[in-house]
Amino acid sequence: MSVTVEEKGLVRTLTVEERGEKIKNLVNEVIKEISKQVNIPGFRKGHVPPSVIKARYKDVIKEEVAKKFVSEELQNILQEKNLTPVSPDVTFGDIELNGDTLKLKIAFEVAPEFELKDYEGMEIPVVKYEVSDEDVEKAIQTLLEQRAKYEPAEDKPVEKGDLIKIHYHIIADNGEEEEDDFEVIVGANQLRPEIEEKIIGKKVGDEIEVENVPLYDEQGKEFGKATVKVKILEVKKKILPEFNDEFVKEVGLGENVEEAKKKIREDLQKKVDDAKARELEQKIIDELAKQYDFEVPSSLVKAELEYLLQDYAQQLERIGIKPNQEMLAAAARGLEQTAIKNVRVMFVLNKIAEKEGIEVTEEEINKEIEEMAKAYGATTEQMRQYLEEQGAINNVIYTILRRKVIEHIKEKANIIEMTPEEYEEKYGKKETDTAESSKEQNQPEEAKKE
Amino acid sequence: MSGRNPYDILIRPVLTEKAVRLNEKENKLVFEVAMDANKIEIRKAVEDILGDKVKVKEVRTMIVKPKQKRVGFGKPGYTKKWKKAIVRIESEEPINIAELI
Repeated sequence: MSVTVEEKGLVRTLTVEERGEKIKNLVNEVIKEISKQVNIPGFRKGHVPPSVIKARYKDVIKEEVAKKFVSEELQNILQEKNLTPVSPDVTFGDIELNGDTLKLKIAFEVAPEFELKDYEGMEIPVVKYEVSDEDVEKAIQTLLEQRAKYEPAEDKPVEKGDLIKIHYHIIADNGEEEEDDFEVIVGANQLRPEIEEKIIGKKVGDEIEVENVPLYDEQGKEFGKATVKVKILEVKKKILPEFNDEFVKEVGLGENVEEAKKKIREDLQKKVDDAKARELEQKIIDELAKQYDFEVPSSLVKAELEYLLQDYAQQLERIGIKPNQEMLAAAARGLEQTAIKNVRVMFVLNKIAEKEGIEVTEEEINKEIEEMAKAYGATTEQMRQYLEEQGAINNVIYTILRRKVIEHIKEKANIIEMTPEEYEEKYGKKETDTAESSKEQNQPEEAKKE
Repeated sequence: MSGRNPYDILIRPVLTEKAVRLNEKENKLVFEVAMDANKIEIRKAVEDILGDKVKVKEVRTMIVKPKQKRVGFGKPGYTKKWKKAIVRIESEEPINIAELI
């Protein structure tokens, strides 16, 4: 057997040539298999002579022999040449089968070689945030709002925060009409501002009319104007519960107000700490990604990208948008860099683990699977079986490894705590949460409902 | 002789279990040939198509009788009537009938 290796970036192309008895046997085996399956006119099933099969199924035989050859011999070849493919999908082509000589090309990607850079004493700025009394007050307020009750208030003029029932009648300029009843909270961004403005101060039975209201289609494009008539059917006043011992008991926050406040504060602190830990992790990863710039195997990037896209599609579905092909394609372009980064970080983390001797034990894997099983409401055995079927055990191992390595880096890192003001001064304003943007996305749909 | 295209005389090789057996064991080729082709024409056509290295030793022909076939209950139909030629050849390398198609 002769094997030559060709290098091009991370792709290794092997040209393999093998001749002799072995190939002959493989060919005969393949022919036997085919002859059992095919049905050729002029022959009884299973009685087709090899010469006929050979003439008729040349390409199939070639393909099958190559497949068999690769599955039998690849491990040996790789060992001999000391190569390790980065993912199990190995492609082969340019097959030539001539009598007892088989020639083919095998291509795969190998892990990139790179030097580990210094990762100890990494400087990572983190915003320090203490939960203040104000935060607790705010949390209480939100809690009260959630528990708010609405009571009918007949003669009261409409105010912000009231729940009103209205009858609306839309007459579009193109003649289409639509009318219905619905309930809405004033001042919660559910109505068009121009309509809301006119409603405030009105009473039950009052009617208002707004002209020239723009109409939007699903893409948020204006497609016409309409006149909207609104009649107020009911007004309900919002009544906030009082924050006292009784209320506290009802929502399960302890026995009295003091206890509840303490609990709320603890919860908030925990949330802040969690967010901090996540931020720290993200920063470490960003920092690592910044340090390295080696080529990564495209097959892994592709797999990662697919995974990210799936995640993205699920996110969209959760907020009620059905992702279509165009949206996903646009997202894929944006996510490609992330995918490359993730793969790169994976290599770096693996290498650090290797250097530091961080390993994942069977015990830890079992524990992780147990936790996953709990989260999905399955038994540990079911979870394990599922993971094995999906070939996802390696992912679990990587998750644990990644956590351990990051923990290790964190210990060695130089974490600088600073107040939000200091942080802003040094690194510019922090990005705000994504809650705002998702709200905006929903806007057009709501506008249409009116 | 007649200037007929050899491919008009040899219509197709016959590829059946029996034909392959004759091909492998007795160095014979089986063809479906034109109804009006005679043995001399067939000999010439085979030599034309297979090239110089092949010598035709013997040609035997026969008419394959139409067989009655019925589909369901209707009127009986017949398979076609055709002329079969079994050609014994002599060549240095064996000619595989399956590869002639």
